[in-house]
Amino acid sequence: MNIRTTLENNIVIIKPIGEIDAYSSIDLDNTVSDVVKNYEHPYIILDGSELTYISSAGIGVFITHLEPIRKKKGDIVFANLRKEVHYVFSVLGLDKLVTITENIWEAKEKLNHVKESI
Amino acid sequence: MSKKVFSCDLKNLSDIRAFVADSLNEYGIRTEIREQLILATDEACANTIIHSNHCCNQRFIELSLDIIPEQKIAIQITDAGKTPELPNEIQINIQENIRCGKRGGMGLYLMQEMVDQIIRFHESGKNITILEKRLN
Repeated sequence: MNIRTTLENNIVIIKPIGEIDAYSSIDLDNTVSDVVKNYEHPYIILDGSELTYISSAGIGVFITHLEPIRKKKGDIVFANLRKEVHYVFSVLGLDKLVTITENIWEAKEKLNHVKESI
Repeated sequence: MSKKVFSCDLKNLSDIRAFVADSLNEYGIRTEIREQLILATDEACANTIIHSNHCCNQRFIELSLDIIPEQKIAIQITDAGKTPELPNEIQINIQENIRCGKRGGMGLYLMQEMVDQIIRFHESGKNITILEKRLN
């Protein structure tokens, strides 16, 4: 798995390319940890357009960082999730607790609302 | 029956998933069932590699797939590591996991949700986990 990270208007877009399992989740964890540590208000979009598989280890990365991100008045929005990845979110009930959008544009809109509410 | 041995290295999880996918493709198993079995096997093997064998690549897990067309698929995972104490059934509260930043339990829960039956036993010094999925 590769991870592409871009910054747009103070929003970090993390795009994993490939599969996230117990081995590759370490890289994702490091990437998300860096954002949480380095930003006063971490606004993150997880672009799932090229994420083809996720196991509990990958989901665990988001579970671990979600509360610290929200405590810093930031948020993480999941965009472009493929059917097979969305399915794992829904089996665990995570789809009810995080924001999932159809595309990046919508994700940016959601995060702009979070920014405005501070 | 398809059978393959992997060393207890998390790097091998992608090969384990490929082995399961290829074996199921040979029998034309439909996508939804194939993906559920790949996820369940990945979770079971990750647990076995990490918790029973401490990621020691000198240890091994054996994977075997047995398919009875139009009836059931059984995936057996065998290792000789520490015998885990696992609950028969697991419930998770994802909201509580988020509040506590806790990851535990999700892999076991996913395994349970992806297959119809999980059989675990210890025999001749080996841990055996069988993931069963009905096809009818």
